[in-house]
Amino acid sequence: MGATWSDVADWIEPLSRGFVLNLEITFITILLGFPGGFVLALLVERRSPWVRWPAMVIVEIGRGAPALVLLQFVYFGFPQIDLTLSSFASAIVALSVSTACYTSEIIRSGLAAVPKGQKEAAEALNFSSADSMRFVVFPQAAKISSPAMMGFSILILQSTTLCFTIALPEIASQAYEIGSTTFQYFPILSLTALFFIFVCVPASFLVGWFERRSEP
Amino acid sequence: MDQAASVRPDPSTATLPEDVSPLVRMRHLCKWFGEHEVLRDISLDVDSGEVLAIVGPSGSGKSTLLRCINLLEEPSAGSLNVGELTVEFDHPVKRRERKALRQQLGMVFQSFNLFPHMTVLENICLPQRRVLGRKRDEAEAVAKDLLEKVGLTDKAAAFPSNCSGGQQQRIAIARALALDPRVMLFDEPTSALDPELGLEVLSVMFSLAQSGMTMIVVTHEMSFAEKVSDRTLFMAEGKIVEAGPSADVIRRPQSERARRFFRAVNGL
Repeated sequence: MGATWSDVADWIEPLSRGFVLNLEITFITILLGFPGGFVLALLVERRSPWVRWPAMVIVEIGRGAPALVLLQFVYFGFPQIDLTLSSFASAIVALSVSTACYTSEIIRSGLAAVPKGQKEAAEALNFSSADSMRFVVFPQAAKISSPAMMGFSILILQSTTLCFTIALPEIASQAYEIGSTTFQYFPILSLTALFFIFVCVPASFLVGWFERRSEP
Repeated sequence: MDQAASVRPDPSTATLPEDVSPLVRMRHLCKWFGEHEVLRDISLDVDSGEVLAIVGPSGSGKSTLLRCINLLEEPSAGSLNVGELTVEFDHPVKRRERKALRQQLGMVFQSFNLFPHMTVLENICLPQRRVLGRKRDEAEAVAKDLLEKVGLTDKAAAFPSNCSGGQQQRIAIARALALDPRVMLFDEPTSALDPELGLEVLSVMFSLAQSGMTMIVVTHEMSFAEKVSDRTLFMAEGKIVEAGPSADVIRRPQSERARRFFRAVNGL
């Protein structure tokens, strides 16, 4: 027995409710993770080993550990050190850390790709190093990094489905729950995939368009 | 000044008598890159209003010398004096010293280095606002005035990428002048330009020299060195080999090293 169209219509509502959570988590993760990545990129570039080494260790751990492990670590592991977070907060913490560590490398290469002459011009004009970063280097690095950052944002959205393992009622948990009661796994998971395709395919086109446009 | 007498007992002396106080004074400046000694014991004076050309083969240290003046490279030893400020290089340069020194110096690069994400007007206004704390209106008035001087009033709203190399370099000169420097440093300002575009930059530099600006110009343009600069410095292997009135140094070099260089430049 297959699912009927009226079944599908019934599923749309819980799946949408779940998907809103995925989008929320993605949005907040970008909001926290990208600036975090920028800060880590700056720290890793510092000359002092007391700053550089801890930053490098954080980045390597964040990049080395799978996002799934980080999620479980925060949600199930933290309570053992008396830090209990809701599944939503755990998702934000784990995914933001992972995002910050991954994007710090993207941002670092973006900063390095700004021609040396630009920094020298700012220096010769007597800009403070903060002003040089803010007005000269960062805007150019952001433009260089943005296609990769947009691509990474799509990956964040997809990795939010891992949150079904920490009891967050996002779209994958909703689908799994409906599947486990109706046994209509094939149509329900197809429908779930459609939600992502609906967002990710246009976003990928946007990234591609942006990449072509920002080529010199 | 008429010490431009053709009597030059020691052609490698680039310093003025001790009782004259020059705008820029360098004493025993040295610069090492690791084991490699790029500048060897350079002593040099540049008087207020003087135009000094620095010429020499590539790798002779002339660009490094220029970059040492505004501390884009930090000298390894010696001392540097600009106006009332003295910096000794027996200790790492303090931020305050660096700021005070650069405040008096404008720099023009071979590759222009305009900020590509800002309009021409913003390129000239932003440093004034961030470094000198000028208000927007004031900065724009200064910028427009300077753009008129370099003949680019119509380019104010353009982006650097829509300007020719010669135009970009003139904008870079305006950007540096907007901060009211006492000395302008030019690092091969026409080397990236074809001769025609180079000429429009040179003519801006010429009128700047006429207006009494103190200028130190690293260049391969011998005609500029000869016609515009008061003095020419010939460098090789990190040392000042000859210094003196431009016509003397270029037309009648005394050392074999300089003679060889100018023969090559003149294509003989």
